[in-house]
Amino acid sequence: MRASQGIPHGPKARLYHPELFQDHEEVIVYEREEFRRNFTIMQGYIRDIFLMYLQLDNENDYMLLGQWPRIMERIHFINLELDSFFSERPVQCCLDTYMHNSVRANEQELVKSLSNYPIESMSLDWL
Amino acid sequence: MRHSYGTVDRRNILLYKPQLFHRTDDLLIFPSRDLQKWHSEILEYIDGLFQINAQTDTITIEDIKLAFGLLTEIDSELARLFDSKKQMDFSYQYVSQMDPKYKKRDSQLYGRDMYHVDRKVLRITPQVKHQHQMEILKYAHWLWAQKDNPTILNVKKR
Repeated sequence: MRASQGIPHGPKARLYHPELFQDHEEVIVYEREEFRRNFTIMQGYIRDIFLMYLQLDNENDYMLLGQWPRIMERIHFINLELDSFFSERPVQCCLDTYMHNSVRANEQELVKSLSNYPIESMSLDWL
Repeated sequence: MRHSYGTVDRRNILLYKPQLFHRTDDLLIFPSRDLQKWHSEILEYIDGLFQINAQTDTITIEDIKLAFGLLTEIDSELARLFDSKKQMDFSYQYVSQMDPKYKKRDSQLYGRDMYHVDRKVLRITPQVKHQHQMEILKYAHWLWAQKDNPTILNVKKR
């Protein structure tokens, strides 16, 4: 999927890679930190289930009966996180309070350094 | 989650709800059609998992293998989020028609001890936020107390 980072600038948002989008295209804008938390927590639950699956003993059926509700619990959480992408409710995984950052970032430098990056370098570890 | 739609207007983006974002926030911008499609694909897999759960009374190893296959698909969908070369198939859009009663948590089968271990889903209210702030403050006080201990001892030695 095409994606770009940006910064808010009054009622508008400025893009680091505006060439990816066509004019008059409808876009959806998220705050990066919230998106990252929600996304990584979904990945974390899937990793949990993979680890459970590796520990399963195929020969004992009674152990499967015990493990299945635990797997469904994780799937239920994934479903909740997935719903919050398009809902107005606050994110469940974002219980931390806002701590004021006293170090002021130099916005000019940030814009320059990120827009010099090639678009292909965007990957999951970039979140 | 805080989100706002917008339109691309001469290399900038006109936000519909600009009041949601602070001045120092970093933003992530996706084409809304692509993201909705991506969301609906994952939702389809998740619904499949709920169907497996609803259809069978006793779980067999075949069901678990089927569920694991769906989960690997979800994992690869998540990993391909920033793959700009991937073409979306816009010929259909999945709309979930599942009864919400199948998506409820089944608390009957859940062990008593696990309630203490796993994260509970709770609503974030102002009270909870305040409580959390107080916990952070308590921890900070504890940290300062730890830091002061050696200095007090030094003073006594002199």
